[in-house]
Amino acid sequence: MSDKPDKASSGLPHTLGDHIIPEDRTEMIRSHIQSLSATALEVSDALPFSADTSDFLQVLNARAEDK
Amino acid sequence: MDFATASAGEIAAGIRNKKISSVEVTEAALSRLEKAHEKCNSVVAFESEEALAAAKQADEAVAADRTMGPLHGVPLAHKDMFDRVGKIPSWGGNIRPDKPAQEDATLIARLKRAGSHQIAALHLTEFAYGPIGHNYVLGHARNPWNPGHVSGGSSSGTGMSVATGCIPAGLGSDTAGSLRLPASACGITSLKPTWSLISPAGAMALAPSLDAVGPMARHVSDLALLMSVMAGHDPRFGLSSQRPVPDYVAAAAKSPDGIKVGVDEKLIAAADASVQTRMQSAIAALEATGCKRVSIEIDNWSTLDHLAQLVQLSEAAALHANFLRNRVDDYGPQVRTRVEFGHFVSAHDFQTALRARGTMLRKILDEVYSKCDVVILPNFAGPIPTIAELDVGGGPQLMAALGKIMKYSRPLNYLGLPALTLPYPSSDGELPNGFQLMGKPFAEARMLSVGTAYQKEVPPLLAPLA
Repeated sequence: MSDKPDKASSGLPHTLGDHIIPEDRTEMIRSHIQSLSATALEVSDALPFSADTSDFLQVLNARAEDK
Repeated sequence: MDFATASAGEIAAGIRNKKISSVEVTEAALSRLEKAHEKCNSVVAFESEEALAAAKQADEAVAADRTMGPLHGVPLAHKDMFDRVGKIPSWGGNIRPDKPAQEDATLIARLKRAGSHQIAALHLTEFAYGPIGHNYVLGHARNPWNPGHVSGGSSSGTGMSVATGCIPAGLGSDTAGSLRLPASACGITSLKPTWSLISPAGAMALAPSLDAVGPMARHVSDLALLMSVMAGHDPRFGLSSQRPVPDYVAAAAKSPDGIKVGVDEKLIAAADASVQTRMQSAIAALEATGCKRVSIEIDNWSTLDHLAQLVQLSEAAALHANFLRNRVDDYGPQVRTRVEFGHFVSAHDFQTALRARGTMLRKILDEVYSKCDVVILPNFAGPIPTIAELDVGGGPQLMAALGKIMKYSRPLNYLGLPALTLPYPSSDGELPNGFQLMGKPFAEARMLSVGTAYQKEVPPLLAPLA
């Protein structure tokens, strides 16, 4: 029987192939990522449906100082 | 000529005019670098023989009146993360490419074509993934002004070597502050270019959506000189800017009179009191150059910081997934933990951060840059930390410690905007430290003019070798 942590218990991965992330570090990571995720959800709610990853380069070039 | 304080431009002119030789400048640079390395741990590998051979060739070209580039005969050195033919870059870690590069990185090729040669491969934080210069593989970098303090990272070696006058300039990279923080801690200047302006082809990637390669130097005029050599479309990088390259050297010499510097008092008030005081002295020095101070407010800085983290953590984790699974014991604790973090970011959050980028950039351009030309911000939120206080391994204190260090730097990479770092005016009893001017997209030329004028008010510093 494997001694690797049970992924299903936390809903988040504890293992990456053979690499096991210890529980104490997993908890620290989970807490930090949750705060980032809360921001992402807020941003997502306000984002137009049409927002696209290519917008960034378009704005960068369209608003260049030398335009 | 004092090689330790001369600019790359002055050294090149001296060689071109046969006042000095490239060999004597290179010998002096190598000798100084050995001493600086003992003090700061700034070098991964000396390349003395190759450097002196290149210098000899440069002198022969001068004697034969051959065509010379703007950096002809000038010794430089760079963060050890660039491909160079026949060499394996260390990437600052135990995990390295498995065979020597067959082609130079674009920037290395362009700097060579301009006539410069490299004298050493310089220290960096492991995989350029850390803002303080700690490296559990190569040993920690030490501040050239006080070795008990951090040098800043991840472009630690270039920062230390420039500050100590070993080289006039060199290359670094910046994913979340890695050009700006070491420039600040070492008391020199750096330019993080607009994303896509400078090609990263052949440079080790960390988080490609955020990575920017750029110059570090004691003189702003050398930032301009290196930019003029390095900028320009590169077919090796698919998203490379196609914009014409301005004459950065001429632009840097122009007056910044009337340029509006945006000051966000609320954001600056989130820094330590000593940094707030130093910011006011920097603003006063900028006003003395003819810049005008205007009030601005950026109301979503922490949101930008979180979005930047989502992109950086995800992309770095993806790049390192194979190494983390198969060679985890080859990582130092801080980088290992940060690579692990990225595996916990959801695809939804990562995509949201990327989709929101254009909207966030447009918002700051509309709301902030409609009132000013550049925004002034601290780099470090406090005085330069000691090595010991940030030696927290990969444990629970790590993200809080790093978060404080990078809170003013990370959002810039998310927005893709350029940032010029300049040292604060000297302050009794405090180590050198620096601030950043954040410009509009592709505003490097105008920013360099501010920097050149600022250095007439606040001249470049030289860190002691002993």
